[in-house]
Amino acid sequence: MNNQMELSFSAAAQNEAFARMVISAFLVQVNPTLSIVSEIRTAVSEAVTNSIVHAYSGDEGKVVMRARLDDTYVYIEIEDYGKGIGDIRQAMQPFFTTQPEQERTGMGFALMQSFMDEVHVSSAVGSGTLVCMKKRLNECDVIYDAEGWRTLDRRLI
Amino acid sequence: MIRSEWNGESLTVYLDGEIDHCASEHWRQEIEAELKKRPVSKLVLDFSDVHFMDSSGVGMIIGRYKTVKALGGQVYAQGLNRQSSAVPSCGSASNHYNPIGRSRNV
Repeated sequence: MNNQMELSFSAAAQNEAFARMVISAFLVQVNPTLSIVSEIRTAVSEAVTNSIVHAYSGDEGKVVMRARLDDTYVYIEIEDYGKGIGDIRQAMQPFFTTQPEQERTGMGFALMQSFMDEVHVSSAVGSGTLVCMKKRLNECDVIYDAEGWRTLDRRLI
Repeated sequence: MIRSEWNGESLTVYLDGEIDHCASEHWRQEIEAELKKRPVSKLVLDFSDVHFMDSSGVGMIIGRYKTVKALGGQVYAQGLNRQSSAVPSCGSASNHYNPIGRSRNV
C-alpha cells in the first residue's frame, strides 16, 4: 500500500484546525488507534502553527502539507516559504521561543519529537522551512514464538 | 461568550472545543475579561469538553495562571481527559508545567 496527498493552504490561524482534520481524514484508511491519530494531529498542529506564527508572523503566505502512507509508516511534511530559521538547533531546544510575550511556550518542536518517531527540520533564512516527520502506524508488542525467539507482532486494534 | 460560574468564592471557566493557537486568543480575552470583573482568589479551569489542546493552549493556560498568581490566587484544573492532558504531561514538560493544582474530581 502506498498512498499520498498534498494540500496547500493560506497561512491563516483557522487553517490549523483544517490541517488537523485533513491529516485525520487521510489516516482513516489505515484504521489507526485513537492515540496515534491524536499524537499525529498534535504534531501537525505544532508545525503548521509554527509556519503561521513564526515563518509569516501573521502576514500572508502559503503552507503546504504532504503526507504519504506505506504499510508501516506515515510520512508527513509541512513546508512554508517564510522567513526561515537561522539556528535550527536553538529553535528546537525545549522552551526556547522568540515570542515569550505572545504566551508562546517554546514547546512546538519538542512535542513534534515526542509524538513522532523522527523529526527533521531544514531551513534557509529568507526562503522557508521544511519539517519532515515519520511515525509508525501500529504499536508493536514483543512476543515470543514457539521456539522462544523474540519477534515483533503488529497489534491489531 | 464563554460558560463560567462564580459562586462567591471561585470562578469556574468551562473550556471547550479545540484549544489551539487560533482559539487561544479568544479564550485569553474572555478569561481575562472575567478576571477583571472581580477579585478571583480561585480560578478553576474545567477541561471536560476539550477535545484537543496543543502547546498554544498550554501557553494560554500558563498565561492565566500568571495573571491569577500575580493577584495572590490559585488555579485548579478539573475534568482533564486524555486529549487535554496529553500535551502538558508530555515528557519533561510536566516538570515545568505543574503549577496548576488538580481538583479532586480529575
